[in-house]
Amino acid sequence: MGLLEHRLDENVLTTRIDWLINWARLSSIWPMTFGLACCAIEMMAVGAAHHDMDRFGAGAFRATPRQADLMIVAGTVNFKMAERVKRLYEQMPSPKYVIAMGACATGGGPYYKYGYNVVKGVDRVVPVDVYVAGCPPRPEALLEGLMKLQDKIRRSAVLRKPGLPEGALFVPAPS
Amino acid sequence: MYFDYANVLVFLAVGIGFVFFNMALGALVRPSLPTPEQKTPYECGEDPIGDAWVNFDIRYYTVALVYIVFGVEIAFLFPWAVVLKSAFADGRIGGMAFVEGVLFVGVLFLGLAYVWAKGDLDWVKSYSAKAYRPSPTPTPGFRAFPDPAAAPPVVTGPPAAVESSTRPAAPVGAGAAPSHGTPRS
Repeated sequence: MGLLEHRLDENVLTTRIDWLINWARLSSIWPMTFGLACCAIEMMAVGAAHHDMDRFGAGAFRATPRQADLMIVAGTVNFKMAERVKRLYEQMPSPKYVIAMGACATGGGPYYKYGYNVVKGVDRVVPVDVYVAGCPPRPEALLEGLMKLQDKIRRSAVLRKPGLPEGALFVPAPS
Repeated sequence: MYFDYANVLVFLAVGIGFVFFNMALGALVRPSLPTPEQKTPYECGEDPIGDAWVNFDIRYYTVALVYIVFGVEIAFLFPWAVVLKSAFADGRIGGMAFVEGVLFVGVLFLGLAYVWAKGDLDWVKSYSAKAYRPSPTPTPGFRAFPDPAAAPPVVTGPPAAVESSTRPAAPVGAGAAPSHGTPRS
């Protein structure tokens, strides 16, 4: 734990510093290059020119978990892969976030009943921050999931103690 | 006069201070949740095999050394070639510059020839394939083993004793009971 993290009370100084740190974090979410199934095709489309994930500062797909902040679990997680997913998640540095993209990563999807080798949701392996619905989700859906994650980071307490009332600095996304 | 170099000092101080300031700032606010997996080498999520520090083939060392011959040559000959024409037009140092350039290339060529003759340009160095030929003049103090001039070794005892020392004698005959266990009825 950082020396000042979650140690300070809520006042105007800590809220401003938290706002600044959260702004820096949410503006440079670097995902890991990590695709498991057909959802990864949509994830590539999000990263490509038309949808352009880089507008949100999240377009720098890193080839190593050491440099990544976000793991987009894009696709079916079977038991063989879940072990790797877990290891990759643990190799990422904190703060780290996970988006479960699509029905398979959310809850098993079409393999829920008969998929003998499919993990029924990646949240049984790693903690998930945002679930994106769809099979596969549209690129816009993944972008919305990314914006939800940014809202979550924007609300989080860095220097302030956790558990204090949130939302003092929270500005909802424009509708 | 020396005050002009204060620029360099300030530049160094700011540069070094910037690094440590940011590292200290990060230590204040970053979460530190280490896991044992973070200390393992990254192999695409697989179980890492071996260390992350891989030994390179020692032959690359020779290649890098030989590269210096050509790298230094290029680094020095380009500016030399650029100014050589104007040096000739100047009329004073043109001849000497040309001779010195040729000497420089000659020295480097000697290095290349040495490497070539020594066989270091060959990627596959098959020292073992060369037949070992002993020197015709005997080395002082060298004694062949087994010494051909010495008498043959004296074997004491009957030959059967020698054989039994190398191979344990098997029990002969159906009636010979093994030393362990009870004989089957």
